[in-house]
Amino acid sequence: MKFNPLTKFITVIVYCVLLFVVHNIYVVAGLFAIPFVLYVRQFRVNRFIVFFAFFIFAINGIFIGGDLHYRLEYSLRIVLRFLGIVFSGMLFSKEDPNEFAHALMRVGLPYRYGMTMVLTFRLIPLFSSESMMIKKAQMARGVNLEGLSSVVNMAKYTFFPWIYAALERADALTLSMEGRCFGIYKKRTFCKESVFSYYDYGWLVLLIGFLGLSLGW
Amino acid sequence: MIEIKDYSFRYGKEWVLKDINMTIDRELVVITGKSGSGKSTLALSIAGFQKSTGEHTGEILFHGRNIDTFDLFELAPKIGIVQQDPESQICTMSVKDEIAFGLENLCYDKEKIEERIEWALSIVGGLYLQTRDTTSLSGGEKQKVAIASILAMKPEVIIFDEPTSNLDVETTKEIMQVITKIKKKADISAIVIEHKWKHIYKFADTLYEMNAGELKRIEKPPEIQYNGYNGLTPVLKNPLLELRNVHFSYDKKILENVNLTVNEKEIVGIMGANGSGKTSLLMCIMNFLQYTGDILLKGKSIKDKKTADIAKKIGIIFQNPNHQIFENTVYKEATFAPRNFGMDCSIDQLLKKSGLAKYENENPFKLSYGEKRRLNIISVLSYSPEILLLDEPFIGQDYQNVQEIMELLSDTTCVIVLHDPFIAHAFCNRIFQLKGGNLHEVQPTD
Repeated sequence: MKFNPLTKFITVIVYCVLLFVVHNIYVVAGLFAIPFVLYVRQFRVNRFIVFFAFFIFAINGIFIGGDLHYRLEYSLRIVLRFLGIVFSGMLFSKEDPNEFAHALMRVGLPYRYGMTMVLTFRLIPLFSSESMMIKKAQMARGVNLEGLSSVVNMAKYTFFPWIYAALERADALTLSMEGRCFGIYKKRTFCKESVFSYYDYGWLVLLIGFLGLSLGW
Repeated sequence: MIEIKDYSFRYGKEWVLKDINMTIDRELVVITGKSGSGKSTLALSIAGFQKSTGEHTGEILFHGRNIDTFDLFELAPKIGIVQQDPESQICTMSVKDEIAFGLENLCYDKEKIEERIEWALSIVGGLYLQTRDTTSLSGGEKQKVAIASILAMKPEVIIFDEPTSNLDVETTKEIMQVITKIKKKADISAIVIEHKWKHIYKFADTLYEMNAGELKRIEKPPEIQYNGYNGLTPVLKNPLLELRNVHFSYDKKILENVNLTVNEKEIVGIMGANGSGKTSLLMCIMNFLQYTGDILLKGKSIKDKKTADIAKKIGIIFQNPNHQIFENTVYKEATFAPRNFGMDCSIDQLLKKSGLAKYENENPFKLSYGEKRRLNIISVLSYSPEILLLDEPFIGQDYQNVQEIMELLSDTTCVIVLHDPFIAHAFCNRIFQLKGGNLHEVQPTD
């Protein structure tokens, strides 16, 4: 059973909304446990996330008024919400961004925006590798990239080569896309079909029902 | 059928194309000529992309109708362009999406698109690529996909603008074979703009040479004879740089037990297929990559040294000239590295020798591709490193530019990663082939 990427995206959004509208600590803990149990094997301890969770817990525990029990419960709820949002991202992390963009276009996103998304996902690794190459060239020309001056030097000496490379790439891409009639008509066809199965529809009905119940409750 | 009649074109004051006359009717036309001679401008003019970028006289007719009267989108499915760098023209993430891109824009239905994808891939010999992501393709495969994506629209003319400039020798041959196959099987006109005419001119119906905007029909391609100064002649054994049992791997093994000694005043050429690890080898020497084994400069290990310290003694020139220009005038750029290293430099002589003295107050990004490359080189030569590493410095450079670059390097110890065997044989003292992670010396008789 494979859900459509859009179904997964809506699930994550609904999940995050639920985390915030529900206040009962046991329900919040239950919600937190869902992605944690599902993705515990894929999860790698990230020191920043652990540190940030402790930080949130401490800050809330110190500055929120009320008795100790209330403060502990409040801080724990905030931490569980934070971790729940982080873990829920796992549901989406393995998703093919290309398929997600196609799913959005299928439900009505204008293709110019949808294809811009595809293009962005396509270009991110290229820009990243170009930035690395520029950094290496800076090091090879003796630019100091250590200590405080590194930020200034990076900004000062990265902008022009990076912008020039980006403009060059934009030129080539424009030629490539216009040369293949991108934008000729208001609509375009798609060879790749983004399929919504009965599972998707069933799951979305369940999810929205559950959200409605929670909001009413 | 394309007819070009007395066509001239200019962006500013100077005419880039002068009185061009040619007729193309279902044939394979090869246009060769120096960098900046106007070949790409002619290609873009034929495809209708130059209408609003400059001024022109004369006319280009497509089936008797003036190109200017066509809407760009009316012309695009009929005249396609394959550009130099396949990486820059691929705009989707899967091979199928990329080839379907034009057809989807033209609102073809799914069955027709599927049929065309298979047809186009079968002609370029890329059916096996159908299910692949574009990010997983090699340089040659990317160019095949770029060609198939144009071919799928069944244009009447395809213009190939230096389609092999980033590719190794074997892949170049393969792409040239693909082009001749397209001409035969798809029954279209193909215009190939290429420095590396050696692999294509035998199949050409008509040959042209572009020289400073003037197009001349020629019967035989121009003879290229580099004025080489080394030609695989050995130098005195005086080791400067030594690689000992160097291994490097990430997902797979890239370098395996690489041993190499570069002597003083020696030019060593490193050849090999795209992705064989040539660039990684240079990156290891600069300590950009973590390797095992040892690398010695003048007998002392540089394995644990910082890149910044290594760079004072070993200069490196990367592939793309634009990634290594940091200042806003040519003079400042040429003196950038020695200023950073706190070293003295004598740049005037180098500026003169490289022909860049007249531009010393100009913005380096305004220079031509060949001039930018020379600027990269003098900006490193300016602080006299003991050895210079060059990563494919001849991409997109014509014969004249190659000669000028090599004249700048005549007294320098160099390790040059390159694809062109003619350049290697003319200028290198020794040539090595990197294959399967190992370096093999190419013998003079090979």
